[in-house]
Amino acid sequence: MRALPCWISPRAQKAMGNELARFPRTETGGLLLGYSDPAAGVRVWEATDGGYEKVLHEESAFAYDLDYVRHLCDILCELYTPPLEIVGVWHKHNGSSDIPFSRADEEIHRQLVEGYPHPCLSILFEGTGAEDVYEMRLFVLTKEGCREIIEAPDPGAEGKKL
Amino acid sequence: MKIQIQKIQGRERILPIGKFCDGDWFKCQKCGNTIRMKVLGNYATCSECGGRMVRI
Repeated sequence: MRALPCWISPRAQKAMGNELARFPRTETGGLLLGYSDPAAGVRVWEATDGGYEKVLHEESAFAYDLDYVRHLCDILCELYTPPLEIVGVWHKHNGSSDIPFSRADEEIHRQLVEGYPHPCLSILFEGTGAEDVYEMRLFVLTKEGCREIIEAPDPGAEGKKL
Repeated sequence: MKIQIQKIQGRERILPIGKFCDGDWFKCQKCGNTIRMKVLGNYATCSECGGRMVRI
């Protein structure tokens, strides 16, 4: 199976890291904005947060404020030429599991796969037990489900500190 | 100072709707125990009574 190149901008990484820091005990997440092409891969330029009013932050559940995120996407996407597209989602689980996604998560993924012809990503941050240290897992979403992007292991790395 | 702005062509973006959850709800058919967990199938064994849990 051909590898799909993926790149996440420092700004998007910082945005996700800041949001993880804001919500250490509950789930959080947002949308990924960028460019995506089966040949060139996925380039994530922006990552949104979930909002501040009609947003759900629980220990095991998260739902973004749809109106807020739509507005943010409209603003951020048009800052770029050509405009960015929605290229995925990101969210956080407080623990880790061999089964990364629930059926609820998979329903979100299904909407992305059916809504967009380009490859989409799902970035999952899993708590490691150590404060402020998460394991970042990247998945390419397909009609059959999702495929984890495995990077070469770094013998010295225990987790990515954000 | 005059500036020329570019018109923004409105784009329809499909935003996924729903919740992200760290697990799905399962209920024991024997004792009623209801918990959230992640399993691949639609059934699991209840840790309280050993009965059959069904995805709800």
